[in-house]
Amino acid sequence: MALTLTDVAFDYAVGTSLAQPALRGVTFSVAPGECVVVLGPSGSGKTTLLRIAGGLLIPSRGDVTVDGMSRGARRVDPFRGAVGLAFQRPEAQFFAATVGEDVAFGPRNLGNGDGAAAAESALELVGLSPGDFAERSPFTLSGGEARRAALAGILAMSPRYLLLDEPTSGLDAAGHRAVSEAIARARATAGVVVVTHDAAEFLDHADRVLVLQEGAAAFSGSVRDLLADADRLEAGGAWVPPEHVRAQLLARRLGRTTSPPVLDPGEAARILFASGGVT
Amino acid sequence: MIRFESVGFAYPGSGGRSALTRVTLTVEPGELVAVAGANGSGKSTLARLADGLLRPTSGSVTVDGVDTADDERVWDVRSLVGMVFQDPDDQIVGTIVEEDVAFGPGNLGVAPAELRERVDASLAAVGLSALSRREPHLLSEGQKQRVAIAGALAMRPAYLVLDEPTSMLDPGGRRSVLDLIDGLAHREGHGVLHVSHDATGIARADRVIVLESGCVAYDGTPAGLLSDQAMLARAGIALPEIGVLADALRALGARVPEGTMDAESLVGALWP
Ligand SMILES: Nc1ncnc2c1ncn2[C@@H]1O[C@H](COP(=O)(O)OP(=O)(O)OP(=O)(O)O)[C@@H](O)[C@H]1O
Ligand SMILES: Nc1ncnc2c1ncn2[C@@H]1O[C@H](COP(=O)(O)OP(=O)(O)OP(=O)(O)O)[C@@H](O)[C@H]1O
Ligand SMILES: [Mg+2]
Ligand SMILES: [Mg+2]
Repeated sequence: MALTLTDVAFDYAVGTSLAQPALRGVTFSVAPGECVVVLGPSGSGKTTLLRIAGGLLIPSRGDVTVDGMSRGARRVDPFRGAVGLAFQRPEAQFFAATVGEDVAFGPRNLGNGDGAAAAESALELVGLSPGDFAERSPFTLSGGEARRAALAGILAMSPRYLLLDEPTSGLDAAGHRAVSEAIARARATAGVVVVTHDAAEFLDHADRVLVLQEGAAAFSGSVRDLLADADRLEAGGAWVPPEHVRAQLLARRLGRTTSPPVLDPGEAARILFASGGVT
Repeated sequence: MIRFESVGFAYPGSGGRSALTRVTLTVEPGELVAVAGANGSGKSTLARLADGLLRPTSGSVTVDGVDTADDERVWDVRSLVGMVFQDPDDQIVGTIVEEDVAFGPGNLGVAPAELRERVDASLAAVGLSALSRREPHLLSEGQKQRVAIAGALAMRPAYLVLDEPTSMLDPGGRRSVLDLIDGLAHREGHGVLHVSHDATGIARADRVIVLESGCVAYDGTPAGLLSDQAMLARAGIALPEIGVLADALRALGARVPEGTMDAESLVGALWP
């Protein structure tokens, strides 16, 4: 079982003067239980990739399969119920008059009763108390409340493949913890893909990392290999590593240490401190 | 200056629940003031009050002495205060990027030659020159956020209110917008109100205000906030990994200054 994209390309506005190649042949897959983190500069194609993986865009070239089924010839939509995508702009995801209805719609539509129980536990999980928020309009929430409500709407469907586009953007510290917790829980049964500019936050969760640059994969592999390749990716403009990783790269470039960079700040401190000459 | 005098605000239909309670603060020209606080604490409400988009339910907001509740002076306030909304889609009006950026200053009556110069300079400042002829609503979210910033810059207002202006940007974009904000206040003398959850951005302010359930919980220096674990928690701010690394190095005995938030300063402190 897996959600698989094979040599996928995508052009926006085909046939107009504004035609935009957004993806140029990307291959990528995630299986239940796995977490894949997608990084890359603004405009590199991350959201486009996620929209294709979520079945919202049809690729110009290449194949997308959900557990071996492609959309093409089938009467059953293989994406329906199996793949859930939380949008980068949560406001674009809402449609119902209240938060409670909005979050309950997905599970109800998939035959999970009236969806109320699933909605309630999803709202709790993202830190929105149903008592305070279920009757609110989703369109008058604060930015962070909106992101949480939109995430709840996807979590409530318990998709087998959970696709998250900048899930922590605009969230406070508690929101960041709630997202981490939601990912950890979802992974027990689901495959998770996280698109993010906050690499430090999610690399701990990652089985694999994809770095996009101008619509192509600048890197694809393990976190360990990503860190080993960080100098090249930074020099090539594909990825600016988190500051604490950059500090280790810088120390290595200055000949202060020979160790490859690590993600854990405590371990990084010990390595840097042990490298000598520290004031 | 922007002055909030015991400002209270409740949204219509919110059952009397107030979004802000007795908020008093000032932003002077040349001053960079950060506003932090948990989700729903009232930051965006405060931002909308500062540019007159919302009017206080109680208390008053004035900009260079002009009351934002004065119907006759709405345009004076609008020309004094530029705003970057949390959701860039709320402010995109033009059909191509450069028209969108020209919209604000055009409305203020800026002459065509100067308008051209302002639009080009603003797009260059956010690294969008190459996308000037694109349709703004067909851009990536990070690109849209930079269009919104360029639009506010092009107005050259005395005060700028930026509501989480780096939330959709990549790490390089974040750093360059933080540099830009710093320069707007400290080199060009604008008064800047910068709403942010990000310790790195907050660290560069002259002063930081923390909102908690609509009330001011802290008004002081960033260093004072960043070294106060309990207040950081109330403000909903997580210390970034570089801050944790700096703390861990200090615990080992290294001399790393408080508030070190970038790789260059950290390495410079370790091996001067
Ligand atoms: N609807 C659209 N029509 C035309 N071009 C588009 C559209 N949406 C995105 N693009 C372009 O396609 C490219 C990839 O956009 P995408 O939204 O996938 O980027 P991204 O990596 O998600 O960026 P960000 O980090 O800013 O969200 C960009 O150059 C963008 O301008
Ligand atoms: N139009 C509205 N109608 C009713 N309530 C609103 C409206 N806009 C915001 N609120 C509520 O007012 C409170 C303050 O919202 P505000 O948008 O100022 O928060 P914020 O600090 O900017 O949060 P965030 O970090 O999530 O953006 C929140 O509880 C929010 O739900
Ligand atoms: Mg995107
Ligand atoms: Mg807000």
